[in-house]
Amino acid sequence: MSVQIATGAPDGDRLEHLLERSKAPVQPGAWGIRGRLLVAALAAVVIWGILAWVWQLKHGLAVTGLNDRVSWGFYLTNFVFFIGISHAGTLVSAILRLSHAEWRRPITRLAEMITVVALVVGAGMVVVDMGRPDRLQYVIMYPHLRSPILWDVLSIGTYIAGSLLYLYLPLVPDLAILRDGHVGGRIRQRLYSVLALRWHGGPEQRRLIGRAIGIMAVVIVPVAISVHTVVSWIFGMTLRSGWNSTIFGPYFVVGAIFSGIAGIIVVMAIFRRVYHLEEFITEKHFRYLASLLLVLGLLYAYFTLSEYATVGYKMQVGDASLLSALLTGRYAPYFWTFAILGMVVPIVLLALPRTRTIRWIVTAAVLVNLGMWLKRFVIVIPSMALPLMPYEWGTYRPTWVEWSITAAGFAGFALVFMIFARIFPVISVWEVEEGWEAEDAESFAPVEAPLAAGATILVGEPS
Amino acid sequence: MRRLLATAALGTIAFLAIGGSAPAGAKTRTTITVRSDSVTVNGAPVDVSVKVTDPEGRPVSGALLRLIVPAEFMGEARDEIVGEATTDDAGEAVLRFAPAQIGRIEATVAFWGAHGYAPSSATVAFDVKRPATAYEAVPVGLQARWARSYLILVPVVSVWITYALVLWLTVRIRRAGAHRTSSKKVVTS
Repeated sequence: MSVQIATGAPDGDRLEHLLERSKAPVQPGAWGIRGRLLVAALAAVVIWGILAWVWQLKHGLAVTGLNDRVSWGFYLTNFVFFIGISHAGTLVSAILRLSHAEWRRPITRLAEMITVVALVVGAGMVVVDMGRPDRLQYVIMYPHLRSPILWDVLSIGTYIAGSLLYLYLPLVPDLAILRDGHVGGRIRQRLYSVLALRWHGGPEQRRLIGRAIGIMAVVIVPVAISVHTVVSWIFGMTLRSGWNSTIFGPYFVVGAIFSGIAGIIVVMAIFRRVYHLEEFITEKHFRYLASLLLVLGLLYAYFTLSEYATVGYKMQVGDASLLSALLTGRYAPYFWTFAILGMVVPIVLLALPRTRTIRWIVTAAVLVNLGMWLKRFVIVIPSMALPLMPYEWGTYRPTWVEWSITAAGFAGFALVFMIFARIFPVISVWEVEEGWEAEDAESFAPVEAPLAAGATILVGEPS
Repeated sequence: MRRLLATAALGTIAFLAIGGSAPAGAKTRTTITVRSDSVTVNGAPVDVSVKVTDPEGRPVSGALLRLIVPAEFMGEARDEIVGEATTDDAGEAVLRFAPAQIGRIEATVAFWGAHGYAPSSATVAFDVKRPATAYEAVPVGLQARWARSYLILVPVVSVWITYALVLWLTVRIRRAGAHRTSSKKVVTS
């Protein structure tokens, strides 16, 4: 395995500016008054949500709108939504890294951060959904390997561990910058020092980290795909109308990437504006991600049409009731809001050259996220409400407890993200610098790719 | 499909002297007329058309009607309300329900009385057929001999072994940092 040593150096001012901008969020007082107020507001919502959960723990799930017919509600909707968002990091960062997409460099860190934070919030929603979370350990103590729920625990656990590793590895050189730049107080300096792994950027360290990132980039993609496939199997492995589908695996994966990319665009826009990263996160990044979002949107529309057209053509008994409830009945407002505002309008906005501006791309991304939350709602609730016995349709009306915990989930996502960005740089400085070096030194031999590094470690060194 | 006309006066409770002068505070008698398909398929929605009239045959509007079917849950027999509708100005309403059981169902359309009208009810019977299916889906799980549930652990363990390999690389990164050498820039991707 060979290492290319760069002889050129990026423009000094540009690098200084990058260092300054990337370190800005982690400097003391970076939040300002407005930032602190926002953090306080988010923390208040999270605390309120925790109190609502404590109330739920004390009085049981009876304080929610869940009942014997509709036993999955907002919590499971949030779970599927956040797990979907978590696909942003992996598939944008890993796939773009493996495919040598150079433009990825300033946005990979944000994408990887989204993955970890969304996974933690999403997995937390399952715990909240449990009437007796004190029995959570039984899943491990008495595993039932035939249960898709255990598969879910295994795949999400594996994904969280992998995503943390995949976030951490590219962070190491930047942590060394913070360590050497004496950013923060004693505790943070100690943290940076421990996490930076004595990084000094020597050839051996570069080679090893290239290998490690390469391996993780290869491994994390199938893990991510398996996660949302298994999430879909929680539904698809049952004989319930609306869930009994063979395409649920790819349908969920495409939906996850669709909402994940939209999530990145929204987060990118916020950080770009708040931390003045316009020089590094440019319109080009939005336009490239918009193209990906458009392709995924069209794919998702195709899957949606395929799913409902095949069900509607056959019109099996339960499916007929469900489909009429979705298309013209009690769930029609949610379904059509998703279909029009969450799918058709964003596709049009992303496809028209006139609306491929940052403002409209971000608008489309926000609509996609709202629409995809509603889509998860119409996947989970109507199939549960559909009677399997000679009863009326089940009803589900979320209570203040569910609204509070849902709000806390979203606030917690934003809060953890803000705190994370307060401690770690949101732009991968060394990767951007490396990209500049590669651009500047046109006489370079082809650079070594993480994919090659990963392949080498998996199949061995060529002799 | 044959139509059933079920006109019933079952349970028509009259607080009013029939045909005579009504005592003060007495309620007007009502009659429920029901029309519906008598044969239906399990799970398929069926419409039950109902008309509520007073003794003079005038329509009763605003009457809340309930469709009640006998059901069994966990071995216990009980009546379930499976649909509700309110009569319009013509005294008519349509109750829709999808029978989930197979066989003969005797459902009751009930008006519990309101606005000076006495309660009344009528019965309607359905012969619920099993839907035509090529086969019956019975979840039995994967039957192949090689399909053992512990195989699910193979990919999971493989991934965790790879994570361990990556962690070992991070240990090597730290060790390499102990021997500080040239810090020339190196491009790895």
